[in-house]
Order: sequence, then structure tokens, then C-alpha cells
Amino acid sequence: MDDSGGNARDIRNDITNFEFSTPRAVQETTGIDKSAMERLLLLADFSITLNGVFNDAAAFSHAVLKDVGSTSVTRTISITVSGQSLNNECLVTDYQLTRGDDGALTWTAPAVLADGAVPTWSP
Amino acid sequence: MKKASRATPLNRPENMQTFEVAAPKATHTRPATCEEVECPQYLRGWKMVIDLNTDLGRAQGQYIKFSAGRAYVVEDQRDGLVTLLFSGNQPCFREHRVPNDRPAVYRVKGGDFRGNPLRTPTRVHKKPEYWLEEFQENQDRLKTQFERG
Repeated sequence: MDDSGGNARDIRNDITNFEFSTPRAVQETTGIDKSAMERLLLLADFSITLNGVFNDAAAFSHAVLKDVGSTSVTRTISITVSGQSLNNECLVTDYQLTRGDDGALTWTAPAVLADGAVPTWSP
Repeated sequence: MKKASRATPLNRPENMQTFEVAAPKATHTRPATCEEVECPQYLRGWKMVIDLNTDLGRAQGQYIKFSAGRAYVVEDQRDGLVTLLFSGNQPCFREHRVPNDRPAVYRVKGGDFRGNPLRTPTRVHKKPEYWLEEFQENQDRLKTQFERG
């Protein structure tokens, strides 16, 4: 994930789970009526939620996300699974820190697509 | 707890699905030493201020003096506030954890962060490749429909 200066940082070790919410692609072909057009315009809707544990070491999650509230830069979020990568140009909308009952300090960072293109996996 | 600020998706949650990769701390990490994580306190030593006017401070003082086994010097002491200097090369008081070798859990859920109105059951893929394949196929279909206009 990019920090606000555009430098890619590997923050995998701080992340406990991440989610990609994406429209369900329907198989059927719909005629181009009004509702179909509207649906097509919504297809790029895509959001990411990253959850992790607080880590203030240099170049890790806190260093990357601490200025989410004060900067409005587009960040590249990349994940790789089984040799395939998904790269997203995103706007991170929050960096929320929470102290749990057990004393653990965790964070949530939701993000949305910045460029409107449908994110696809590539080798 | 306050909810994180999010952009509201244009699609309703029933038209969404969520691909998740999870590696919860409880099951996917193991305890680690300061040396293993190159903890700055271990590498350079650290300073700690304890307040002997409070129960917590007194308990900390008792623990540090009699049980902790860490080397320290008292740097300053005034109005019940004691500043202690701990040298490096000894474990700090934090608990460190690092990822273990357990593979992450790959899930496909209905809906999104707003909920799962259709109550679609969550599926767990046995292999990351299967999760990836389903995710890829979904995105490819979306891209085709999007480009078709």
C-alpha cells in the first residue's frame, strides 16, 4: 500500500483481515433499458476494508495511514494471491483506531476506488 | 463504537458480495521475542515514568523492583513521579506477536459492510486458488458488462 508520498510499503504483517466488496456480476444478458443502463453505471462500485493491529514501526501501517485524515492522495493498494495481483487506485476514507477490552489496539481503514475502472486480477 | 467513515456505495447491499482474506491474530500469530521483531526498546533501551501516587504506579513499581528482573537506573524522582532508564538488550514489557505459518482463511460473503440482506451463506474456500478463480470470474464478467456499456 502506498503512503501519502506515493512510496509502496509492505504492511501485510499488520493486517488481520481485508475485504473486497464488489457488485455481483450477473450472468444473464439484459436488454439496454433504463434499469440496465443504471445497473451498468454502478458496476465499478468497489470498496475495500483493511483491518489490522497497530504498528508504529517505520514504514509499517501507522506510518502509512496516519495522515489519511489530512491528505487526499490516491493510494495504490495491491494484493497478490497465487501469483495473481489486484491493483487498485484508492481513496482511503478513514483510519480508525480502537482499543479493545483486552487492551489490543486495532485499526480499520475503508477505501473506495478512485478511478472508476473495474479492478481485475492480472498475472 | 463510532463507525469508520466510508463513501456510500451506489449499489444496494443485496447486489454486492464480499471477498475476504482473514488471518486473525488469535489463530494466525504466535508470541515472539523482542530480538525477533527488532523491537526498538530492546535495541536502544527505553525510559519509563511511573506515578507512585496511583495504585497502578505502585503496582508497576513493586513489579519492576522485585519481580521483573530488568536492569534499570532511577533517573529522576519528584512528587511521586519516578523516571526509570532501562538499558537495551533486555526484553521490554510489551507482548510481541508475529504471523505463524498457518494459511489465511479465504471467504466469500453476501452483501458488504452494510450487511447481508439476502442472508447468503458465507462460503470458505479450501484453497486460495479457488477463491481467486471465483473473484477473477466475477470481475471479468463485470468488466465485460461495463465495457459493453
